[in-house]
Amino acid sequence: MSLPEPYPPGLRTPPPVRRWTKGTGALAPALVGLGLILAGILFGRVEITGLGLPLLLGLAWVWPRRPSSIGRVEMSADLTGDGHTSTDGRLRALVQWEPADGVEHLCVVVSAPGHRPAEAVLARPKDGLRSVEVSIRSVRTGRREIFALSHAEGAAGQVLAVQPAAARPLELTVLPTARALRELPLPPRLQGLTGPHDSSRPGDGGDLRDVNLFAAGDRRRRIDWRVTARQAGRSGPGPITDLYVRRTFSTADATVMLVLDSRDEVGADVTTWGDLSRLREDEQTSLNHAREAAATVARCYLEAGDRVGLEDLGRLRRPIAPAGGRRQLQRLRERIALSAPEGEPRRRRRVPRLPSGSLIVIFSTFLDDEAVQLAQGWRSTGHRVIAVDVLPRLEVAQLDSRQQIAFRIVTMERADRLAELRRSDVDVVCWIHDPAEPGSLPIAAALTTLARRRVRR
Amino acid sequence: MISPAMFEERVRRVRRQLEELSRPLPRVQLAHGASVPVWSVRLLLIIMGVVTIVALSPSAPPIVILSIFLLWVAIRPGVVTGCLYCVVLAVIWLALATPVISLPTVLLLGFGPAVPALAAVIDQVPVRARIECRAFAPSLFRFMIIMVISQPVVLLAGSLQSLKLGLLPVAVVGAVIVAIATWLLLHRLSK
Repeated sequence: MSLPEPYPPGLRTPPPVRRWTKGTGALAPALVGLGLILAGILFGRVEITGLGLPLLLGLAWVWPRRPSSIGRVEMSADLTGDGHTSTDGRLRALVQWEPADGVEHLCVVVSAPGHRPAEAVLARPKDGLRSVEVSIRSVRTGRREIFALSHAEGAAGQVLAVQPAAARPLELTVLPTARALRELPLPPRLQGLTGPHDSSRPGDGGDLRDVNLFAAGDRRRRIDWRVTARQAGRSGPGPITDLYVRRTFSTADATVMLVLDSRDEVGADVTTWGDLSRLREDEQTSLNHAREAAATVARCYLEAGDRVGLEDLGRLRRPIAPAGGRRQLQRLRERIALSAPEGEPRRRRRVPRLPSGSLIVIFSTFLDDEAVQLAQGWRSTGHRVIAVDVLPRLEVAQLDSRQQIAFRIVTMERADRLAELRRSDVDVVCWIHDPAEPGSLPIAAALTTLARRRVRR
Repeated sequence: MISPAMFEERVRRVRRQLEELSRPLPRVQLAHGASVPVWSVRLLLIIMGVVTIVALSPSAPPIVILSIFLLWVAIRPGVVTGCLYCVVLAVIWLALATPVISLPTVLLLGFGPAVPALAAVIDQVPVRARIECRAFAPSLFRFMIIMVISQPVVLLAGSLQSLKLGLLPVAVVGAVIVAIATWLLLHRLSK
């Protein structure tokens, strides 16, 4: 019985039925033991039988106890209290083994992307079930196949052997973390009659607008008796004929649409741009930054009482309509975590229609023209657009001369796109702060600057 | 003649390999109990084999033959290679005359059967794996009980043989004693 290879990718046929077969320990100890005992007797050397007798007795011990069935081995996600699978950057799963009678140990191989596999021989539990935790440390988010398990049970003395089995890789969803930001920009036009922001429309809940005569539609509890009494006193003694009410401005909320460009995912090492499998688990990718940025912005706006929706450019699917509340935040985080590149990116024939008057925040690497054209299209229809650049800080030391030239061309084209966005009155901020770049600000400071700037419609 | 592009490619490959050495991929963490690496168990196999060779004290050619088979057990541990080592050990022991009740005999009877017993536990387990210490417990318990039953009987039979009682009665007595002891003890242990 050899330790099994990890589960081959793409295999969809059901696994073959496994059963115990004769192992290497079934015949060899019997033959050698008998032979040594006979040799010892024939040659008159009793001590030679002492080499063969333990082999025979060992076989006599384990043969009646050989296993007849195969135990159960499963791997499941190790969920934390709130149903998620990641805490402090560590992804966990549980391997559960329920051995059959006669099985002495279990050989397991657990592999994960970007990690060396763990191979171990586990002892049989004292009671029925054994659970062993497996974990890796990762900074990546999203839904991925993380752990692959292969296992084979071992019978005593190797009298029986069983084919190794490989379980399907375990899929885990890691939700992006959402940081806190202080100030965030608002769209030029707020909507609704309730919300966390001041509005210029008359209504309830806002600052004082004026004190005026009671008119049809005014509420009786808005009557300002002090002003009414003062005005009545000026006009002389007599009954009060005019009532004065305090009128206020209403409040409003902002509608924010997050546009996540999940069509590509690149790492910091430029040499890995053509092969994602070479990315290490301790390196963030552009899509991880985009997920974190989108989750952070969503959290901040929703906590402020605004409404947030989500559009995923990588998937031709209906966007999540803007809404508020904690459930919306949970819904957005889960959809953001599930965003991933799917095959060749498809060009959209027209700009997606987003709610009018909404602030659009687009998270992209801007390595092609699609995101730029969409942003310009939305800006031209009157939306305020903020472009968040999520490209990580790049490592170019490993590039050869031809790759250096290609990288310079890509970088210059990207810089041209960002300049074109700025010319189109789209605000551009970088999620990753590069102190070496002149004029670069941390994201919190950049968004605060945008929040305090007037926007022309 | 190496072109500049090929030279650059080789330099980049060497740089990547050096980076992999200095920054190796992390390993998946498996929360098992106290364990030892399998290579240390193979080392223990070699030590036990060396003890048997030293106890036998043969001339140079048998040492070479035993060493080759011991190396084979260390490289491919298993029931078959362990039993083959016992066979070679027995053949060479037959050619050498050692007193029955002596330290070399005790060492050979103690460590000789231990080689296939330990090799069976790590049969086809790769060198880089780890094996829990508790996984040795059933095999160790089984081995100790069997040794306690069989080896004193062998030594007793050997001492009876030295009293010139002939071999057949010794063999019969030994077989009967072993059979009774086995039936008594193993029957109870199986419960």
